[in-house]
Amino acid sequence: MAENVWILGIHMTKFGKHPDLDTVDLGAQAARGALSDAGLHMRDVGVLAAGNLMRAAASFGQQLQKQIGQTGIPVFNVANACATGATALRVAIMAIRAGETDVGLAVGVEKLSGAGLLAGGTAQQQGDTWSPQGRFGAVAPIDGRIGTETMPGVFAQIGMEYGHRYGGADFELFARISEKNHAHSTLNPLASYQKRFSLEQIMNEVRSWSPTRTRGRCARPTVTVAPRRSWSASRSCAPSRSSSSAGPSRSAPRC
Amino acid sequence: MSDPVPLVDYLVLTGQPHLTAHECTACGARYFDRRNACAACEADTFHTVDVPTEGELRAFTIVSYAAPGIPVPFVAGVVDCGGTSVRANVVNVSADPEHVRVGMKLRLTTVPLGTDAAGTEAVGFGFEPAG
Ligand SMILES: [Zn+2]
Repeated sequence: MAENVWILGIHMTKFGKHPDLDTVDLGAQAARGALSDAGLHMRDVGVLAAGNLMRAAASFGQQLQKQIGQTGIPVFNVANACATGATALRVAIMAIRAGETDVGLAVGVEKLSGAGLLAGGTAQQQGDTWSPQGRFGAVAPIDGRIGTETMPGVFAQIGMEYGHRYGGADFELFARISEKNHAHSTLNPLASYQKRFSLEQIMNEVRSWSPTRTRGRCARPTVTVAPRRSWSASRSCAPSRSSSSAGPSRSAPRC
Repeated sequence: MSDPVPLVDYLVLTGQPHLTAHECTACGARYFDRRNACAACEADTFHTVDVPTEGELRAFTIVSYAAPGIPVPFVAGVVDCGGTSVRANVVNVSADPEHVRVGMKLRLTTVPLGTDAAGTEAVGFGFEPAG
């Protein structure tokens, strides 16, 4: 078993809508960038772990191999919500640790443009007549009729319950998380927006899912996302020759 | 005209409207949806229990963007009904932070959802301020 697994190369694309690039384009850029960073080629890689959530049935890994190198290695497609990219990385590391290969490549990619509100999975179409469907025996979509399934709404409630249970988690606390995250974005040229906002600006912004906000993003536990924000990012990494290696990837934070 | 149908099968409209849950016979965990086994203890037998119709608002969010056909803003919440967490909208209240607060007392009420092509009415539920 490999004692240590090293990350030999890494690459990430810029967060953005990328209307002219598809999931495979973004994944290919990230994968090839990571290989180049590591000084490796696909023929050096013994396992590919590919993470994509929104088109989880599309075999993104195989599509990617077709574009960057079909070398006959095993590919694992994984989907695990916000942890999709991290799961891909884990799969690559596990293959190395198990002794199957010395070098792995992990890629995570997501294209959320047009994904809407990211509601849960129980929405259903309304027919001509009421007929019970699904595990709730629902005759109509329940999102919006029985609470909310949208991710910003769900996380807003989690944040509020947290405050109720433990105290001290008021709206200003969440606004400060958002302030901090925006500050971090100014340090990352690949971030979607690199703009700093003051606490006051954030506190005064219109809230779409009270107590969350519209523009801020990535302020878990209460998420602050734009309703139709979109981004795509991927990061991949390739590991090494003599020592074992794995590559990270990162699924796009769902917010 | 046929009887109204409930939005979900755990809403009982006959008599005093109320919600029911599937309670695990081994550990008492409650679920509103159909379950294959208990997520808490693995037991696979459940019995149906009535959920109290009064409770306290434990968490909420005021939703301004929703799927087509859902009027906004509305209040989505989680209501603690005697220890059972119930997801529901808070209704018959102004959808603003001045009128909705965590801890407020609520009671179950029904909400008409319209009629289908056969003239059958569907009825949903929500929780409204009690007293
Ligand atoms: Zn149980």
